[in-house]
Amino acid sequence: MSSRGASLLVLFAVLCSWPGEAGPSVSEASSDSKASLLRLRGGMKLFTHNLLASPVPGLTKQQRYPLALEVERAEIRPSKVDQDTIISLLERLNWKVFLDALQAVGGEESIGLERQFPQDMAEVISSACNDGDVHMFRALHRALFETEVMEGQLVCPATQRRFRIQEGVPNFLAADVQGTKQEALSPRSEGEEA
Amino acid sequence: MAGQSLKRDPVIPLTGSDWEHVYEPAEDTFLFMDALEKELEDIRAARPGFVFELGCGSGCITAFLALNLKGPAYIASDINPHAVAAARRTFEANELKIDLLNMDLFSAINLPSGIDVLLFNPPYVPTPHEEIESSWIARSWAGGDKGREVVDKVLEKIETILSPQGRLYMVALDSNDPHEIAKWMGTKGYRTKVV
Repeated sequence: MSSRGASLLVLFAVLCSWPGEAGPSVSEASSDSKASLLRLRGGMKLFTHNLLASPVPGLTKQQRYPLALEVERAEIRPSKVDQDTIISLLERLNWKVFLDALQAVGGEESIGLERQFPQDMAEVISSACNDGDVHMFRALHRALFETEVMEGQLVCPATQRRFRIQEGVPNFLAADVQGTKQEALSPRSEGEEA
Repeated sequence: MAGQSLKRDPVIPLTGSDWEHVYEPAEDTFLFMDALEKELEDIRAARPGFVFELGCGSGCITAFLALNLKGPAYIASDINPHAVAAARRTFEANELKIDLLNMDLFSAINLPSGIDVLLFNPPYVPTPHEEIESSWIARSWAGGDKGREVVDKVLEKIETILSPQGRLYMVALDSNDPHEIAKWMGTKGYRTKVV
């Protein structure tokens, strides 16, 4: 495993400007002790769900996206709003998939939002980007980055195969990946820690 | 570039027994962090919105970048469930909100607009093909023929993974034939440099 003679490669295409900076921060870190996976915070953000697709081999792009979301438990973890990041990510979002994921969590009200998001993403972009609507940023941030699914299921739209979100982490491993049968579903406890 | 020397190193809350199944940060990890530190202003200037680490292991690399470059959304993944659990603890210890995915390469991700910064410290050690899947820990370093089997799977599809202005930072050994990689990436329209 020696890395003697290692060199680092950077590959990049055209760089173009992109808004952004400042930062995500976390509300609080827990001081968990042993065997504490269950007590760790942090789950799957709705932003992340927007990028997930079925790992079942042989499916077309249309067949593998989006994954249906079933939520058993979600949490809100407040963090700092970053308008530039929201703007830069907004244009890559599949808005309809996002709205469906939000419904799976329980809708706007369940995450403390008073207003419904518009069905049309153009309206969102216009009020966030053109009018600088702070409430819109706040709401988008809450839904995309502060709402985290801790326990639930992701369902392949073509095959109905289910993938578990456990302790905040989606598991997409096929059952025959080395070691998964013995180990993956019950990560060993970290008893020697702390 | 001026200023910005307030580099923060991540806390790694992992101990001896964790390294049975998870790659322990080693020379290559530190080399990677040094390179990212050198590139930091350049990355910042590119204003990435989305950073992804493939094969995050302990989570050290993503934690390092996230501590030093606030702003982008970060996601890290690994095929090894022990690594995912370890990285989760690392992110927690550094008060970082970074999502983790337990998956093989990009098997469960849909990237219509791509990744702005992809971080990849691949399994690059040349080994017999069979060794790649021999254990969880082997997956972190066993690279098969020329150490390129896993690397090539990613590079083959790199244009579907990176955003138009995206970039990949990847560790490579001389025995991986980085010049050949650079030439290959050139045919896909990418510029390559050694950091």
